[in-house]
Amino acid sequence: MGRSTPGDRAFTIGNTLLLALFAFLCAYPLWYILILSVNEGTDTSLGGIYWWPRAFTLDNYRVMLSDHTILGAFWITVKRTVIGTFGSLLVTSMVAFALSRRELPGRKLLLFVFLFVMLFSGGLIPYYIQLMNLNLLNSFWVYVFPSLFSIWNMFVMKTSFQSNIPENVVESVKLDGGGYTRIYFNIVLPFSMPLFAALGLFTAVGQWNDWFTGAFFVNDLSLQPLPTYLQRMLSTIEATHMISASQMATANQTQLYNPDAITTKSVRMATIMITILPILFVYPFVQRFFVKGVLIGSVKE
Amino acid sequence: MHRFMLIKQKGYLPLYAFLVPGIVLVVLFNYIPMLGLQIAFRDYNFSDGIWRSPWIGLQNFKEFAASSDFWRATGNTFLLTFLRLLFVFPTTLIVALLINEVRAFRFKRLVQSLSYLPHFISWIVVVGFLDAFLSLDGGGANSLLHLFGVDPIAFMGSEAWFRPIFILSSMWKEVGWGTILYLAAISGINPALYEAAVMDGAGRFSQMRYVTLPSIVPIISVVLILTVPSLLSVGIDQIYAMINPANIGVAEVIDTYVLRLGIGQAQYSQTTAIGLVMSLISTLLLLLSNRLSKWAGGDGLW
Repeated sequence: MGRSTPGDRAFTIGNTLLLALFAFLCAYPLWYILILSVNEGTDTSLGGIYWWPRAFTLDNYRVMLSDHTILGAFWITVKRTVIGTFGSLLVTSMVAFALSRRELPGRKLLLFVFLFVMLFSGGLIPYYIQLMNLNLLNSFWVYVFPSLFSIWNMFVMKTSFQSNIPENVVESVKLDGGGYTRIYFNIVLPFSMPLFAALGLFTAVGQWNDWFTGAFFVNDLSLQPLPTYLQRMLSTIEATHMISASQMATANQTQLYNPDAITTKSVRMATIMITILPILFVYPFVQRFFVKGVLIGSVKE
Repeated sequence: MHRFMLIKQKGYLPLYAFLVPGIVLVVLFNYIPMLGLQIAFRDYNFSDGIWRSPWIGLQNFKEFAASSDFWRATGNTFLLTFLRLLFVFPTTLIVALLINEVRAFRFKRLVQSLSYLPHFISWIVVVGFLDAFLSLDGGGANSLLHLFGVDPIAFMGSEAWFRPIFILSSMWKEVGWGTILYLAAISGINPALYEAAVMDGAGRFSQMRYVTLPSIVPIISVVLILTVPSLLSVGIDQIYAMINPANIGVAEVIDTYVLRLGIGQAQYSQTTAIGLVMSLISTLLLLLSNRLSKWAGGDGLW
């Protein structure tokens, strides 16, 4: 390669500039939210803030955190993410393991039972009615049960088990008198940890970010997760109500904040930061998993 | 009985036990709702349930087919999915090709890290940003316009700006992420091809044009084929967060229409009729996409 012509150098420079701009555009919105969340609300509404906070304050966070609803919402979100992710990995991988055993009698029929739900769906309303009949509406478990089994992840896992679990190891466990339960726990699970990490990551992000379930299947505000709380805040009328009613009152009494510093918008920015902070925090550590995850997933996605 | 003994003797029972939770879940959350589709042909009421509500034949279908709101939502759905494909797909490909040309390793890593990040941010947050940045009271965009003497624009409450905002935010969220597949395919290209191209005097741009691009045509076609099933779903998260009375004319899609009418106004039967038609079309699109993918030499979806 070595030689570089002027044309090549121009290409390199142009390319670098273009990609630097692209990377900047990817990151800027998050930076913008951050600076607005630490800027006085009334100052923000004067406009002209692009790079740095102009009137620094932490009052937005104080007001936000003085609301019990949001702490509850945070806790609900953590709970559903942890239970939902581990539960889903367990249930889904058990099904995938059973279906990955070619010697299982009736496997073809069982495979079809699962394949069919990927092909055809009852749609939103019958699903909603079923949740109603199961008494899952307005219950914490509506976040967990319906997502315990993931058809896509099941097929990804099944393919991976079939090609990555060495058959001679399985045979030797059987010769030792071990059954399928032992094969699953002693071989399949340890062998598949990188795969589980990748799929678990996507499941966890999906759980963390899901506002839909909370918004349409749960009316009880104390059961709604953080993204749903945020979604309600986005509709301005409700936001004013939410903030003025609960937070402003308590915070005002205790002289916690400077009333000029707060607008619904600035508190909203602080709430967004709380929602994405956990994702930003784990992001650098999990990157190596998700690139792998996409590649396994792409086989069957 | 004989068969059961054989299954027990071979030790298959645990395997069936492993399947039980999964089967229970698909029956509860997938198969029973499929039975619920029959209310498309009934006048559903809660006390009679899905089996005994009065049968009214095709009336629900006739009603939604006569509703102009439904056809507007259908038109918007197709237009938005088409626009999204038109802009997101080529941009993703170009960005992947450009990233691949970066020789400085650290810079490449940085660009990739930052560009994958938006995929993990929920739509609610994205729209929260848009709301702040495009707002009339001090949003960055209008402050900038003000510097150039342009009057403030109500971006989020405008029909004209809805589609550009929809497309740009889709690009923000998915372009970087989409490059992963292409970059993986590119890394599998035989280096000898590039060496041969250099021998023939090809510069960086010609190598990209005549070696990299043709080599990833198979993966490009797979990506295109896999978008076929999503032609009917715009992404309810994104639209629902952006929709408001001012832009509903161009923003309403089938999914939000069903949501608004079905859960919002409890018109269960009519929206289930819409859902049934959409489900059937989705199934056809999936089958078509699977057939195309196998025909193009890919793995197929199953």
